[in-house]
Amino acid sequence: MVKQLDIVQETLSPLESAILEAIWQTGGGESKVRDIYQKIKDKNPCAQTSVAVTLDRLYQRKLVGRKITTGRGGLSYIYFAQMTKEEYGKATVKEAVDRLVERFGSAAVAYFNEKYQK
Amino acid sequence: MFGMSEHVIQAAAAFLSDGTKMTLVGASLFVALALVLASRNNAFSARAKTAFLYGHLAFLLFPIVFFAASLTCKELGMCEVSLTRSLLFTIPIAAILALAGGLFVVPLLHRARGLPADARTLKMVRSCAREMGMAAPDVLVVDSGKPEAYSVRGLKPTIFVSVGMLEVLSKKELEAVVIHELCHLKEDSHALKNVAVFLGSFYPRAMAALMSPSAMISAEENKADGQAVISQKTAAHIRAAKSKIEP
Ligand SMILES: [Zn+2]
Repeated sequence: MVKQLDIVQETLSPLESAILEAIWQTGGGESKVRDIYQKIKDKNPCAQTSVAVTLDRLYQRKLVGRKITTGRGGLSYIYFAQMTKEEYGKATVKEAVDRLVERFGSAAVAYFNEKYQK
Repeated sequence: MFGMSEHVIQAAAAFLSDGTKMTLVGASLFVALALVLASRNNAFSARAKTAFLYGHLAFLLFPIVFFAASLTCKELGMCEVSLTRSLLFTIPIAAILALAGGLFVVPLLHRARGLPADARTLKMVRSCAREMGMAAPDVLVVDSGKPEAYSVRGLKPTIFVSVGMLEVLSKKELEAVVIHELCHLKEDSHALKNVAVFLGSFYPRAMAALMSPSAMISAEENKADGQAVISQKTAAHIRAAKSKIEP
């Protein structure tokens, strides 16, 4: 039996996917760097600073959104999901297929037809 | 070249064969060399080094200005000469504008992007500044999740800390970074960095032995780290902070 591939793990670094999974687990809700770090640190040993840097990168790539809040400990970000896990999977597949079709044109289309018309 | 007429070449030849003028040019270049060598000595403060490098630049440019000033329209009766003269005069003017831009315009661009800081960070900066016997600078926050901090001098000294910095650093670590940046402002490391990087961008690699901006900058960084160690009586916090900034 072929193991079901996890699209998130396939396309992101282990830390990136652990962070996204942690955000999705809260129902796409709002989390601070510290909360996410607490959630993932046992399975993904890393420093809190790596979580902050990675979240910043995910934000630049528009995979997560964020807003600034002023709390007891000063300013911090609240991160939230920009899309559900399903939406992310779909977007990733779409991007990969579009890229193949763009690069290989009719060869890619012919292959998809052959493979999926049976 | 534009404006390089025969008359200009004649004037240059006359200038080069004038013993008195050449002596002055030689002396000027010698002083420029002495000043750049002096600026390498870490026994001098950043302000002294900055003054040496400004002097170095001035004495280096003096021969150009001197030659330009010796070109006169009356003497040669040619307009290309006055054009060459103006072109030569733009060299020191461009240098002054570039240095002033780094000193005053770049800080304004940074300040335009800053967000107001929270009360806790402001309080920390003020109390550290008081302890170091200096006026408290402005504090602005950079909208970035990466832990980073820097300062600018300009007309209004300002320390910038990123949101990521406030999220990830402990209070003591943040304090160490604030002391580090305050030290740069107190020492005026910014002016030194500005002129050193400006000169370095013109000097070929081979001259790095004579004037190395990175050596100048790292001396300032060490001084700022040292200040944090002295103020906090431990190197632990600044070291921990740096490991979080450059993981
Ligand atoms: Zn520094």
